[in-house]
Amino acid sequence: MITLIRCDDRLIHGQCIVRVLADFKIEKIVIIDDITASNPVLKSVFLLAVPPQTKAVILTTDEAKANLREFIENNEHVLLLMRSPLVALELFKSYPELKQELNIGPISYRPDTRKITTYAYLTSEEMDAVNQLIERRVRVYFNQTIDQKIIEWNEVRDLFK
Amino acid sequence: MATTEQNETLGILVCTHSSLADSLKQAIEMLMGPQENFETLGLYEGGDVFSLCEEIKKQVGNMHTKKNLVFTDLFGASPSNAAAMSLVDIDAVIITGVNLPMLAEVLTLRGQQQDLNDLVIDIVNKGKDSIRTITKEMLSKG
Repeated sequence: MITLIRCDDRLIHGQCIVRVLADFKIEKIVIIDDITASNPVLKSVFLLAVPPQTKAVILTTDEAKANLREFIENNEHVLLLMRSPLVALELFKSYPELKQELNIGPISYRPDTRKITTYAYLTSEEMDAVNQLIERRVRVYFNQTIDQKIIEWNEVRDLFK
Repeated sequence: MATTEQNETLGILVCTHSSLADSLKQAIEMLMGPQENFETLGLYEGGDVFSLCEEIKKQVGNMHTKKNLVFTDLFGASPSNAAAMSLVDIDAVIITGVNLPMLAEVLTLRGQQQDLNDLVIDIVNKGKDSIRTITKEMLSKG
């Protein structure tokens, strides 16, 4: 089963290992990222970063769109991890049965982004994808770890028009 | 000051979350005096792993040292992952879980002619062995 769908452009990192995996009792991480999936160095760096008790696979967006049902129907607690809301939108479109919630964690600053929270920056294209998710009745919320403040996109979206 | 000639000294870069690396440098210099070929880098909120990787390559490159050690704070975390990515382009060994005793060890030993692999083993052992517990009971034993 998919326990958490999360955008985090650092993919597997300290916060993910120390908090997210434990907080959601994650047994398997499915990373969906074209760059990482097609670069052997990046792939090995991120697979190396996975704690030994956790399983992990790295898929391209197309591979994920073709094979996600396997992870939805599986009994393991799965974390779907991707860099961008654009990828999330594609997955929600392909699999309407997904739990209609997208967690946005750290997404780093880029020159054409706006600061949504201290840790998440989005381009206008990414904000557009998030708005499309809202229209599809997917709850989109910003949160780093479960004990920190939650910011609902619905509550702040007007500030970023 | 900068030279294109390769420096024989072992280059040291400490790369961590936030300002820990700077603070570790300050702390070790308080014990051992000012150090050269000892650089620091921090990952801050909003920072990304690819930019950090580029920074690591730049910092190590600027030292012009033939061999380098990159110390990171947490295995599997972004500073460590960025350092791992940088290994394609720089000549370095990464040691994760940096602590002050490890830095004291490397700064003491890096001037000596020692095989890098042996030095790495020494540093890792120093880091592990320096983790001790002190309890009240130990005080009464004189």
